[in-house]
Amino acid sequence: MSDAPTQTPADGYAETPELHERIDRIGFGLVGGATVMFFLGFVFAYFYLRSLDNNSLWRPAGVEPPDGYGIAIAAALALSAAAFGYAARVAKRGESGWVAASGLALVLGLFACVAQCFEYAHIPFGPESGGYASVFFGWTALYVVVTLIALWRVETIFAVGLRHHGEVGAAVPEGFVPGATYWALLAAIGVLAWVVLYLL
Amino acid sequence: MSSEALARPLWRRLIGFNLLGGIVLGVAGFYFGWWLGHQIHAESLDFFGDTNQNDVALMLGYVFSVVGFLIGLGFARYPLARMLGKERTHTENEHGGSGRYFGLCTDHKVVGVQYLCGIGLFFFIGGLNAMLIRAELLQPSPQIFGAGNYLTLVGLHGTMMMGIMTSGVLGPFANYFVPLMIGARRMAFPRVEAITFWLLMAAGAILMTTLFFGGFPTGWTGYAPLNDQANFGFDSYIFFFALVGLSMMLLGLNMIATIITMRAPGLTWSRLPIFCWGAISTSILMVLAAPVLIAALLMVGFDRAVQTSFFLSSAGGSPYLFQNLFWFFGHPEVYVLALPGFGIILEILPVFARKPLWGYRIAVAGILGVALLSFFVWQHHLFVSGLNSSLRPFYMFSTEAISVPTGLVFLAGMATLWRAKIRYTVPMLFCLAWFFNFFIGGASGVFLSDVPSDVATHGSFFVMAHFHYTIMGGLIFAFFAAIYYWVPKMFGVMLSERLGKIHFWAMFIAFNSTFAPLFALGLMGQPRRVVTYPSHLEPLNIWVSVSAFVLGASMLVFLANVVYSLVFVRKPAPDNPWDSRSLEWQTPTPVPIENFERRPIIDTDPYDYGVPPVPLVPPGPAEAPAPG
Repeated sequence: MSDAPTQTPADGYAETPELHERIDRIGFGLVGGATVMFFLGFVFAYFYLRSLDNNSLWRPAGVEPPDGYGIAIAAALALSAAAFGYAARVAKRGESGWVAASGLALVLGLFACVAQCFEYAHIPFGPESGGYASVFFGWTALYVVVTLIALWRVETIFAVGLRHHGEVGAAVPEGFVPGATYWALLAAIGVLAWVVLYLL
Repeated sequence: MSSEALARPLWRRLIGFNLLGGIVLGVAGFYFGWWLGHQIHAESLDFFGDTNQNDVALMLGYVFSVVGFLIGLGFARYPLARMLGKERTHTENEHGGSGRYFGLCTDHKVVGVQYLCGIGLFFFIGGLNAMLIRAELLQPSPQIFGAGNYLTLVGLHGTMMMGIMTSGVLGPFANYFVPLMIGARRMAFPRVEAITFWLLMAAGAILMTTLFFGGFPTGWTGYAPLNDQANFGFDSYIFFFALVGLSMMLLGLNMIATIITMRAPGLTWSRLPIFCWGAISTSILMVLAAPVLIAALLMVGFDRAVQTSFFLSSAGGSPYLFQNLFWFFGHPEVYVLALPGFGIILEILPVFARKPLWGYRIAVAGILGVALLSFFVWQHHLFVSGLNSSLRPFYMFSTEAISVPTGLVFLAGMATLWRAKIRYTVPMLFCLAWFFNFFIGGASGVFLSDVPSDVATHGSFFVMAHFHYTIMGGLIFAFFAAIYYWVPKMFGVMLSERLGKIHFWAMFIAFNSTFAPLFALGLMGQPRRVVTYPSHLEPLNIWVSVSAFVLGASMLVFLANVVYSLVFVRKPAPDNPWDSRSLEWQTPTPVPIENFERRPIIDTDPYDYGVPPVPLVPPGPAEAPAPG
């Protein structure tokens, strides 16, 4: 892997942090759009199958996910997004504390994924139990996958902080704010999943 | 690769992160996933004669093979380095020899060439399938393959073409030329650019493995409930299209971010080359439509592997759900194929017409209009599937409305040609043929958007003729126009004009001779994907098959041209052989790694033919006149 820059300031090709920030902002915005469209497929499936209720098997009796897990997962995601958003704002202001906050966001995100896996082990129905069960398992399982991929980004921010011992104003990772915005969007989708799958 | 690395013996250079490493780890990953799947889901562990239809094993095999392939190519190193807190870098493996083309390389020009070769390979495999299909249809009853294998063949041809060719223009040409056209040194996300190509190659290889697992009977659309009933060769379809979707999405994302953020000073939106508008509008469709396809395919995967029932009416699901999700992607995908063609044609026309592009803003509005409307038409594919009849008028109208922005693109092209001094080069011939073909494809599309005529022709060869006129007549002719136009810049050698013209005329005549009769066959009732047909349709089918073979032979002329020009003759291409004013032609040939010596400042439109040229690169200190 080469770290050598191919551009020099003299030729007008110098890449500023502002340019990188803009690229990240647009990149995360587009990934956010794609993520929304991806989960929109499951939202559509939920309402479409619910409205059809083929053979009265949309949601047979007994297909009820445990409320406690749903609340715990949604809360962990919301808190994780809040922590990461706080970390990004603090880092942007050049103040300390962002490393700990991003570490907290990472732990809470991982907790949400682990809790989801625990829920599968204790859920009173299986994926074959009708339309609702299909949407439940499909949506939540893929949400865990997407969340784990996004947590990579949270971890890299945290790792940069650890590597530089959280020095104030030093080595604040690029793309922090856009990353935090995306993480908030993903958490919002997680909370939406809780509303749709547990409350409606 | 450094000179020290180049000095090593070949066997030593083969060991490392490259294609060979990718294949080795990909195969190892497949068998690991296969083994793991059997541990999870079944008791048998029969690697070569599995009869358990163990979808879990096959799916895990595909997952781990893709992961292994990417690790072997070197894609895991950077993410792991970032996880250790190392700084961001944008370049990898950009310097060196031909080894760059067989692994992870972040130079957009290398990726463009990789795409051109990789897509070309799968395009020829897909084309070979078409030849086999037409060989089978030489007679009204099954002769060569039988009904089941024929369906797999049709499915492989359609899936390969519709999947791989989604990146047929953006992959090679946009990756290579968009940064040059906008005066940038790199794409916004160079590693993402590289991974899109290798994902596509992994997808193509996975699709081919369906032959080892019984093929799939669904055609390229993969409809439910057949997709649930199909044997486990269908899993390769799922993974193929999911990987293609992922690749498309990342490619589109990268393209949009690049065009928005990396333009040279002075390159305003109203000066952006029209090809870039084609690329950006296609990319928007890719980013927004492909995720829905991925979601739909993963639902199919869940239905097959863990017994969910998204698409099973008997268990609370609905096959119509798949149709809706698939076509929400599928119809925009048609424009993913068509819009880059619009961009290429409008980019090339002014060069050989020696006139400014007429109605630049109108053309841009047309391209964006098509992209926007393409999201509101998908249910015309469901006209005969039990769609609520009150929805039909809306989708009929929205589909017909697409002809308006498409007409704007035609208008811009035609007006550019008006009273022009046309140079009939090979790229220009392909452009002109595009107008002819796409007009027939578009006009026949109006019949299919109309409910009464669609009900009569749905599922027939008429539909097949229509989409081959739009996709092959549109995209593939534009694709070849782009090859003849840009290959001199990509490879530094000119393709033979003489062989190119033979290729063009053979392809153009054979194409029309192949697909125009299909309209008649469709109207006479020959259905798609059925190996038998009434005997009175045999003469016309023989005509079509022979024409198709000539069409296939025309591709051999193209291959001969490539070998003759690039290997034997190697006539050096000048920096700007077509006298184009576009920025990519102002660079030296071959294009240096850094693209431009200095960042260009744009103060002219790209199509100002007839206007005296203005220097695109301001003089630097070395060239500045001495004071006094």
